[in-house]
Amino acid sequence: MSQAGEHAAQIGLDHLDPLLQHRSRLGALVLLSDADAISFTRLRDLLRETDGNLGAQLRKLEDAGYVAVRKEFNNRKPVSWYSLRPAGRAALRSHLKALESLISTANI
Amino acid sequence: MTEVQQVREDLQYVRAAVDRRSPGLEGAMYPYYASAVYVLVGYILIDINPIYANWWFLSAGLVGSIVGAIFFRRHKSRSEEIDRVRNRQTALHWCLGIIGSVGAGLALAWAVPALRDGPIDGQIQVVLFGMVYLMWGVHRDRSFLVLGPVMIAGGVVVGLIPHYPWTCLGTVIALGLATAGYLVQRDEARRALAR
Repeated sequence: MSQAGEHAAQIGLDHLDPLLQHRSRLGALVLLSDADAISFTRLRDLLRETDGNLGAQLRKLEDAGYVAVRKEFNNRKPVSWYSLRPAGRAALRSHLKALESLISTANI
Repeated sequence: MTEVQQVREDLQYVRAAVDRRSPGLEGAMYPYYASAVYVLVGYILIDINPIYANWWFLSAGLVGSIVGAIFFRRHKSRSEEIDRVRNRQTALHWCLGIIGSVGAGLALAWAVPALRDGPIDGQIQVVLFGMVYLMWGVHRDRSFLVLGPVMIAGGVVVGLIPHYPWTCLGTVIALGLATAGYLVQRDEARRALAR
């Protein structure tokens, strides 16, 4: 990549949401953007993460108000349902826009 | 590793997660196979005894709807994903499509008395169902993009076939539905292998 491209890419990086720069958090938000709710187990299987790591990342998204969690029992088993909140959708949209401009300038 | 490289790897990771996600239902081919049997038996009965055909379409349709609803409920509790918009669209498409087609056929027969006794009312009904199939192809399942026009053309042509016209049409539609089911089954198997 040329020096000018590297500079433009750096500008794109500056506009990225710091919370979504972790791939598990970004992946979770992308998956949640296309469903009303997804269970913790399903997210873990799709993202191929460990329970502990995914739980910690989802907690950060929850604390930021990006996702909502609802716990219920299904056949006597506890199930945590995660869904995207409007703030999370807005954050994902602007993060993806920044990524898009980064990709176009950096030619990834 | 530079930050740009990191972004590239992260995007590949997200892409892989999205690819692992199967948009189809597990066992989604069974409604296609059941519909193929339903259509084939019903259309053969039109040629043999239309009264039996009416009873078949009504009773088997009712049983099929109940079994379908149970199947869908069981799947929903296992799938670990909730997509209310998609479920609502599916239910609305088929319910409104079938009710609208039957209603439009009945209204036409009521408005034009000449249609009541001949096979034309049935043909119109098939053409309307074909349009419902076609719209399903536009919105959701690509195989219906072929099946819909085949049904519409079949509804027109069936009046020109001298012997067992409805059996011929039913066989074509049933084969189309079975093929669509097979394609869904094949895709599901491929996705399962990829997981």
